[in-house]
Amino acid sequence: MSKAAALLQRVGAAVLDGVREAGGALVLGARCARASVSPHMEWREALRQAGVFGFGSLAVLAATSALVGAILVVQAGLYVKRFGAHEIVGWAAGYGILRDVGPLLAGLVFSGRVGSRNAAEIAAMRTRDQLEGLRAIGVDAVPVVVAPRAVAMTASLLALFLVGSAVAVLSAAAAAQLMLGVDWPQFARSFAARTELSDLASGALKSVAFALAAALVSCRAGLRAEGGASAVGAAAKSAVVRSALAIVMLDLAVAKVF
Amino acid sequence: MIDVRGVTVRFGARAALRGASLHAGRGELVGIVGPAAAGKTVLLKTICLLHRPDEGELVVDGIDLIHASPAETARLRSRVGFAFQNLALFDRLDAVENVAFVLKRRGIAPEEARERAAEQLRQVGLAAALEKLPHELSGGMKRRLALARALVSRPEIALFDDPFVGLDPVACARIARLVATSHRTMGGVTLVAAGDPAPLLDVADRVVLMSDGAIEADLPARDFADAAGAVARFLGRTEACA
Amino acid sequence: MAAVRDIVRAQVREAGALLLLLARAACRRPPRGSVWPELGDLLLRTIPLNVAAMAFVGAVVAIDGGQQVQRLFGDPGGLGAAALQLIVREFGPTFGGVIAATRLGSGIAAEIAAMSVSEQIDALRLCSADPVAELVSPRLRASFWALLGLGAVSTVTAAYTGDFTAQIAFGTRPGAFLDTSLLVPGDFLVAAAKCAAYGIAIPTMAARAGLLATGGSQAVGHATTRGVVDGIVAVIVLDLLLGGGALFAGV
Repeated sequence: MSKAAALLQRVGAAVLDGVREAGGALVLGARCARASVSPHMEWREALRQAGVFGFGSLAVLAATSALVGAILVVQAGLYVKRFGAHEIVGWAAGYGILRDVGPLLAGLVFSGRVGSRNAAEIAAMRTRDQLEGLRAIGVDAVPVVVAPRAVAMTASLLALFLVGSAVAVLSAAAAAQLMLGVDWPQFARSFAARTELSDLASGALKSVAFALAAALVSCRAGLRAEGGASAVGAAAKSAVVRSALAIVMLDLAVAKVF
Repeated sequence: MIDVRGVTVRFGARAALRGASLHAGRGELVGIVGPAAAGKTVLLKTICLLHRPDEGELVVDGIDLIHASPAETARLRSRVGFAFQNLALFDRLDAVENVAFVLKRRGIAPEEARERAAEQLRQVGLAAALEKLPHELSGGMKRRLALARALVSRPEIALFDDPFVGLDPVACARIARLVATSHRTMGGVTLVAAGDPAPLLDVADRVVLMSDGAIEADLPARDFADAAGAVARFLGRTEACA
Repeated sequence: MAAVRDIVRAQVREAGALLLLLARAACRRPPRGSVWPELGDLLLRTIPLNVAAMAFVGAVVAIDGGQQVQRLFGDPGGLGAAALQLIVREFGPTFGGVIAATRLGSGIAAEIAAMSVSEQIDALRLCSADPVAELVSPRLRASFWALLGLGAVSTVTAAYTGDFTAQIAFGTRPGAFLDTSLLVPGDFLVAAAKCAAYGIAIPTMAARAGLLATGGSQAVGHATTRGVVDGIVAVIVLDLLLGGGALFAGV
């Protein structure tokens, strides 16, 4: 087979694999949706996991958000210094934090942390035959294991996004003062004047979409794990990489819609 | 040859070895028996300084390991053969390369290393698997590969960390025979750790009982086999730790 | 208060250990001929993902940015040059770095953790082989060059897809978002510095996470998670430090 044909075959296989993954994730999502209204849904587990995910990632996301706020100011700073456009700082921070960079980085960090751990836990359950055991006694894993985690991840990322955005705005304001000499009133004015509610809504919608994607992809990766220690690592790795790609695609989808 | 005196090894707040003392002379095959988390693995690894003692003395073949220079430690390690509990097989190398790795590292030419490795693999019954990668081998074959790697350098100090785990009685007996034969041929000191004492009782000179990081008993093998009290105590401990 | 002090102390110790690992990996020579295959392997694994991901990122930057500019100034095409500068200086290297941290970080951490858990690291030490020289050094050197390449690929991909998307979404003229009139050599210097820094930080964080793995399969999953998150956070921190530094230096 010529090299070009081999390459084409690989690309085609990858695309088909991606489509199959997406389809599988959607099917799992549909099962989760159905499970969430069934009496078997473990809401207590969902609540517990939400606490674990939310508080577990709070420090990382707060730190990341603070950094992102400062980075956006640095980006804007390029044009402030060149064109003296001090009024754009508040606006740039607002739009970047709520709509653009903020949700995307938060989603990627969250999926890296929670998604990876999620996949590893479920993969470990698989390798210990715990899920087979559930099936043997007639219990469906989806409402007990998968759906609670999906709900928990969605709720916690949304909450983390809101908290993180607040942290990022404060950090951006501080950075603007320290690095560009833009004082708080000017920052606040520029922020309030240009930032609309739809920016926040867009960011929130992105967070929900990203969390759902990360949840479904990571659960699926864990459920398909076969083997021992290396399978757990492979599941975590695949979850993180696939979630990242899904997140970036959803980012575009939501941006187009909003 | 191996002189462990009052050694304590801590990982954070937990003491994996608590004041452990063990002596093993040249020509002795000593079994180390005990439940999981008794400290058998940590003891074996400490003897070749893969863990550094926090307290106590450690003298192996006349070398005070705690105060030895890196060069002295390296020289001593070149006389140690270690078969790890988790096998430690290098995933990307085939069977011959896995065994030859040890020899190449000791400065032996690649060609000769491969020949000796192949010969060692034949001795453990893996003649048909020379070019196979570790993940292509069965559990028993992987164990024998780990054994071959430990034995190929003709070590004077042979340390085996539970080579019997997960094997059926026939395979266990085979491993025990390989260990004993190699021990007789080398004429050095051999320590074998095992959760289940049964395969060791035929080949060991002495059996040491470990529990909770300390050495609880040190008996000649035949006394261990006979003494109902020792066995009952061991079973009692196993139950408590299960 | 004591808890805060303990956390700070633990973080300082961790930072010290990381720097030590980096120094050892940088100074010890890797086994002969181990870097090139590693580099090829890394690039093969990450370029497809980066190209795919950055295509979407470039499109989003164009859409989001264009929308905002439309709100403010009415014509998105006018700021195409500024958008390109941001892609070259910021989005290309940093998002490329985050995606790379995801792929490389998880890969390296998982590989090394699996070796640690199966005691291969101990076996290396017993053979007087230095695990850092054998395992970390080749990956460090390979990642350094790989990230420079990936940064370039990411930037170019994002720029082209951004331009294409802007044409579709706002009807800007082709090439509006490929306008290099605002670009100065300093932009490329900053971009290269960022990529180089990421190429050093990502494998170091991942290797540390892998080397610390002890126990069973759970430890491998835990190490993979840690490798990815630490890598992403390191990229973001370095982005701020280098970007802020460049701003102060007037680059």
